[in-house]
Amino acid sequence: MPAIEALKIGSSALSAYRAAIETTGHNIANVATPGYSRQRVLFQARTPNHRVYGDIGRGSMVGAVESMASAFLDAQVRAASSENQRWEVLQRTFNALEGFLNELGDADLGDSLYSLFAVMNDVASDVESLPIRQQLLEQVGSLTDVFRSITSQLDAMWKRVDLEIQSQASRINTITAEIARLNSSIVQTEAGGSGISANDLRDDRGRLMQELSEIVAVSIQEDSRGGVIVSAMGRPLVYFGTAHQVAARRDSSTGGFKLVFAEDDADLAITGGELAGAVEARDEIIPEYRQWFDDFAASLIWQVNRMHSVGAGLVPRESMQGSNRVLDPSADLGSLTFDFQPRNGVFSIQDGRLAIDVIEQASGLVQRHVIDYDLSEPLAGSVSGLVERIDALVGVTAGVDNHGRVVLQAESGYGFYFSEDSGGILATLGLSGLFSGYDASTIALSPDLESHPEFIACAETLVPGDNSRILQLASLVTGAPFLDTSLSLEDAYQSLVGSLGSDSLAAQDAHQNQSDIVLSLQNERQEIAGVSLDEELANLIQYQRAYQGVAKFISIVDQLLNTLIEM
Amino acid sequence: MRLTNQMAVNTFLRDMNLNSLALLKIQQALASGKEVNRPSDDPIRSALAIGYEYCGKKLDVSLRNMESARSFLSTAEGAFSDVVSALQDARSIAIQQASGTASADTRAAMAVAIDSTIDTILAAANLHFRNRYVFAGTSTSAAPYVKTPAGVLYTGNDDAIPIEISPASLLATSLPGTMVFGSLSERTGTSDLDPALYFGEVGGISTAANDLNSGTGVLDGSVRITFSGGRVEIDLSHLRNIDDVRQRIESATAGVVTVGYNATRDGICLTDTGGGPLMVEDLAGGMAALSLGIRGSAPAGVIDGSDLDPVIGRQTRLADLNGGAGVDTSGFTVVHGGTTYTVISAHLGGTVQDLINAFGAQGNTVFIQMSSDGMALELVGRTSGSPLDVATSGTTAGDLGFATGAITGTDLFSSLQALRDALAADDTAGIQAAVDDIDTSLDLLLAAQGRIGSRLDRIEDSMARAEDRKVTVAGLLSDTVDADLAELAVRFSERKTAAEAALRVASEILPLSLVDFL
Repeated sequence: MPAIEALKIGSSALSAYRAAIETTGHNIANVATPGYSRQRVLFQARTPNHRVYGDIGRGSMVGAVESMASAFLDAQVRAASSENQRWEVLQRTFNALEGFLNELGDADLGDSLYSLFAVMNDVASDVESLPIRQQLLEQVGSLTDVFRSITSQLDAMWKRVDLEIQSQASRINTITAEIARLNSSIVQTEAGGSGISANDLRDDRGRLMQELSEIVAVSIQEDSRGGVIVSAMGRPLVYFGTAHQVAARRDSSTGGFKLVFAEDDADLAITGGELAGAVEARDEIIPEYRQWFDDFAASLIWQVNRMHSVGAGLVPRESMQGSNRVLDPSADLGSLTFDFQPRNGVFSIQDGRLAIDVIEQASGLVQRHVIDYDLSEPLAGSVSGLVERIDALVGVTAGVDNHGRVVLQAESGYGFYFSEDSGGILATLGLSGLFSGYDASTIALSPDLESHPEFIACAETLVPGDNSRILQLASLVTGAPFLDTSLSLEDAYQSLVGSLGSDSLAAQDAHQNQSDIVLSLQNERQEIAGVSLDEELANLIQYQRAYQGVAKFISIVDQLLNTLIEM
Repeated sequence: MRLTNQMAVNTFLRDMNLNSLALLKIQQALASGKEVNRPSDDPIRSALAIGYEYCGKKLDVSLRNMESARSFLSTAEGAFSDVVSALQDARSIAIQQASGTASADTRAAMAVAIDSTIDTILAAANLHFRNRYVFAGTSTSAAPYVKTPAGVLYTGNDDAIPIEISPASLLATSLPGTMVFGSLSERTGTSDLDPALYFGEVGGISTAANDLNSGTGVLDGSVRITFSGGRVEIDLSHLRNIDDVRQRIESATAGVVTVGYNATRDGICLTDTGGGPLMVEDLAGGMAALSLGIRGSAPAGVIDGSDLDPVIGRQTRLADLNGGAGVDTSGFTVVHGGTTYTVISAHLGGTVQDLINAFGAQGNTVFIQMSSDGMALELVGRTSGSPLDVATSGTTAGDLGFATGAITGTDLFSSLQALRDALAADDTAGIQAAVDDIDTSLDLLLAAQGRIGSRLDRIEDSMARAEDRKVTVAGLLSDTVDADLAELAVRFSERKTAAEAALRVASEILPLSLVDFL
């Protein structure tokens, strides 16, 4: 029945074009959907009927609905995004560090150092004036505040990044669970050689994989059935239908969180993505700057205190307390241990000579006592040995308190001060210093000097107009060596600001470059898989016209049939 | 090439972001007036800027220091003119009264006038300014000139107070009274007391390494000793005293090389008990052996070191003075300013410090100090016009380098006192002698005035230079970080045009769609 056959041709073509119009509509509907790949209908002629005179076509049908996704470009976009996210985190970190330092702004560390330098010079000009000495104490206080504010901001930043790392575990788990579920659905949909491609499910999965790559760099393998294995450095996070959960655990070596596989606590390898940036910021960048500030503070404390510990104020001291705790006062001076770990070139003792001037208050007579100490000599070679020898002097008692701090006390009617210490024992024990503490978070004005500006050691000996010590102290504030290097403190600070600036700029540039790369890859992907409204509309018109043509064909066939029936 | 809607949107967004960012930076620069607002804006320029900024701060500090020095020095200069005119008045009185025609009555009246001149000068000498007695040396908390029945007592010292006028360059902001009024003029003790070395064998402190070589100390370094038992290298850095030298050498050579005094006890002697030959060399870069006087070789095994010239310190034992001969312990007395000081054998058995304190315990008109070269002890009287009288039964005073008998010095106050006394006693010869003394004092005063004047000049010069440099540095800083408003304005309008164009094009292109034409 040729007429019936013609109707069948018409109806097959109508349904094919309806499918094409629907697909076009679907494309238009998803013009703004991220990760969506445009789909197109592949038309195919139906198998023809064999006749003796040749084959007669049977119309058209939809061969397949094809997604234009490019697995290769998707993988490239994912890799570039991982790197992009890493640099974004690093750039944010440096940006924040620049903010903490506030160099080139007001009230930064450099300014505070120079203010201290200026006040010390003021004191040198008016060395007898208590109000100006009091200003010096206040300036020391505000310098130590700057140190403490920087370190507390760095610590807070470290904690924030650490929490960020911790919170990524649940994000990863949500994504991997979803990928595993989609894996199963895709395999099911495409199963049985039906030739059907689960385009939208695949787009969904692609978007999730992209999201995951932004958090942590992963590699993806797809098998012939359509399932994927998502793995980080060889270890699968998703194995087809199974997601392997990760968990955040405290890492005793860094004190922060690390991500591990929940099943066996093996480390999750982090090679890119936000997490890599966060780990680098937390474990390398922030600690590096924190350490630098600790070293800077330690150098300042050590060098200034070495000078300040051997000088006289306006009046002799009646008591002194060491600010550093000695763990074992009877240990050799060469192997002293503290409740902190001294770095190279600071808080270290050499063989030396200690001179203590004891003043009889009533007569003003000065008795200078000299004690040589040796890193290894049994008699004066330990803190307790030294303390015993000071204790034996007329006018002074000495001891070690229960916290491991050395305490000196003048007997009634006496006062004292140290006039020489060539080996640095006083500054090591924190005795008679301007500062107390040993790093950027502990640096403070020595408690002995709190509201005692008359004790600031501006002089070499007990003479009210002598300003030689404070002049030397002023030059140390900016000129003392940084740790055991040949850099002065001001040089070290300048080079820190310089290197932070260039690190930060490099991170900004790298981030900008990487996001340009991502954009151009995305554009390439768009070129193939993106939806163009104009194109879709043109297609729509084409399909519409074809549909109209087929409808016309059917109505003509109908007329033919009518003619036949009315015969 | 296919162009899709998302591509157009993404590209447009990125370009617009870049444009907005650039506009933001220009806005920030215009608002703050600075082009470099954080180090990453331009790391090199910001490092330079910090350098300039700190250089400017240092100049500010120097300027403030100089301002302060200037105020002290000009105050002192002001006091001088009072003193000079008072002294010149006294001088003309003396010349008038020196003629034989002057009567005893007018002389007695003038004696009273001189007394008030002394008070005037005393008030000027006790000038108090900014918490400080300006002419007291560094002992600035008490009035330096005190009138006592025996004369005017100077309680200050002869140190100056320096300040930093530029990095590492110091300028004294004060003149001690000794340089202006010639106080502390009676002193005795100039001979080199030649202290011997001491290893600390019987208690006390071994000679400090820093006291050797006239106080310049010992240079660090390692030495190589070749001796009968072989060859050793010894680090002689960070020496505290000569006993450290002995211990290090003897322990390194296992006691084969012994260390003792040289023949004159002013150097050290190395003896190879194995009989030599003995050789001491400095290793590259060090000069320890040379500065310890023991570099050299001795075939016979004895290196007798050279004189190490130790200076006298508070811890030096009196027994080690005079090449180790010590001092006679029979004691001596000093009379000055109405006080008698008796030094007995108990004071002479210990160190220089004990001797110093022996005087300190008996009064404040006489004290002992180390001479400026550190080789002698000086006995100093503080009361002007009063003789310093040293008496000794044995040789103690001579052993310490003090001349016996009375010495009288001249200074401003003593010459005025002498004039007053001569006027009161109607003593023509005395009055004439006083004129000469007043001239000497006047010379000293004018010299001091000249010194202050030249220092003030130096400060003015330095201040002018510092101000110049400040302007230069401020200019450099401004060149480095400050925004060039004209350039910024141009860049702003450039960017603005670009941004507007981008927006306009986007507003035309993005809505463009086939939809509108169907």
